[in-house]
Amino acid sequence: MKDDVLIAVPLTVANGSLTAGARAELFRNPGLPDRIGFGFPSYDVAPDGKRFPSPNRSTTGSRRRRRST
Amino acid sequence: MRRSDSIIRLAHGERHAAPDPDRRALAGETGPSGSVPCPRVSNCARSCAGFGDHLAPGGPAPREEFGAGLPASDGKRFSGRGPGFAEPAVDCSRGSGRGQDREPAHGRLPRVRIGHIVFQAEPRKSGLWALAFLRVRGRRKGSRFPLSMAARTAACRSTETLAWSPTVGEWRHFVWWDRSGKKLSESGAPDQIESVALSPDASRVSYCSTQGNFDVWILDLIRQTKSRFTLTPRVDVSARWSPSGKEIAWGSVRGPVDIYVQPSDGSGEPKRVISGPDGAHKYPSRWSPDGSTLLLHVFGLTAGDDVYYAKRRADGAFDEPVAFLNTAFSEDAAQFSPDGRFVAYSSDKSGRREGYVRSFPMREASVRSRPMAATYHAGAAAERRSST
Repeated sequence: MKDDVLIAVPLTVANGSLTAGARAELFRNPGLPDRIGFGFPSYDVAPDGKRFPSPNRSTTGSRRRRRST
Repeated sequence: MRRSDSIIRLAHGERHAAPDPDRRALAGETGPSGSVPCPRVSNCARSCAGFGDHLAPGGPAPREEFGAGLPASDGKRFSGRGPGFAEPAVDCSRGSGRGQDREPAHGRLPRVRIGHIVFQAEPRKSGLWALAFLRVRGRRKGSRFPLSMAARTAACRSTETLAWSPTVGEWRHFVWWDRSGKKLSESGAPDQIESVALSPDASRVSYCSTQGNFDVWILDLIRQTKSRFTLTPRVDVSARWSPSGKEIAWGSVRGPVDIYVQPSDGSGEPKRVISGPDGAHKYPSRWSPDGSTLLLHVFGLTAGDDVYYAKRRADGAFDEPVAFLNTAFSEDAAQFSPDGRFVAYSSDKSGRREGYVRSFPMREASVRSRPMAATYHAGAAAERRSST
């Protein structure tokens, strides 16, 4: 399972029925948090459907944490 | 799951080659607070998640506990009771996972005689712990013992196997991506980020910071400032913006996980708007486009996770939640299409996580999309399609 990959599936609604098209990989974020626990989403979609905010691993934060411990 | 995640098999009499104190405790050797041998771990339900096992006084008293893995068998599901519960005891919810058999039964005796509650005690401080119990409600067998002091979240997805993320939280910062995978920009200072939700106008993003006790924060993407939205000592997660952007609904662990709503500018007091079904843990999944309905991620009633919805009345209050998807499988991550006619969700009914779309209210057979991360974006794709 590729947890780090965001995939889109185009859906078409016509005459009251749904059709799912071929899926397409959108982006690959090595820092994309997994969904191991409670299904909390690790990204969202901008209203224009073209941009996706997603938290990425931060080396700055890691260094800060190491210093604090 | 990342390769660095820990997977450990918990079985009767099994001893683990444990180089660290956590693993030694798991294997029944000496550990903090009088660790006990692991006599047996009940078969795990297909989906295990829950909150809050509260331990008897005597040990280090956790301020807030965040249960995760719930051993169970025969479709039984166990959850713990936290400090906010009236009865600080092991609680057993009964049900085969089928809707018609679903029966929240706090205090009923399960057929399982012994098992373990797995829980996370006070994030960042106490790690992941297990507690053996007997079938008699409230009776524990021995003391709790640590599984991993560095664990964050656990999940039981197969028999006698427990997996957890080894870190308490990773430092992350927001990155904007485009559809081609190009990194557009970065926002905000590093934080331990979970459960991301963008405001309708895309000017702010809410997230759960797993630092401390899990609070909801809001990052202003224009000013690049962040503010803490929830100010309770409780676990507050899964914030969802109303369509107007003026309100935020989230789940708060004050006993069972109930749903609260508060103006997004932080004014006013949080109001508990959804507390039922009794004994269930609820998270908001998504508002309908007109704000009249809130989809809920519900667990604690059946062996799997379910999707409910609650209608909002003109006075702002919500009706009792109604089941939308409660099957023998786990369904979650539900979200509306922009016209409110469809709901995309994730289900494991095929044996693996896949995205599905179903009309709302339910009228037609669902359309299965494709596996894995398609779940969330299936909704986004549906939104774009139906909006054009």
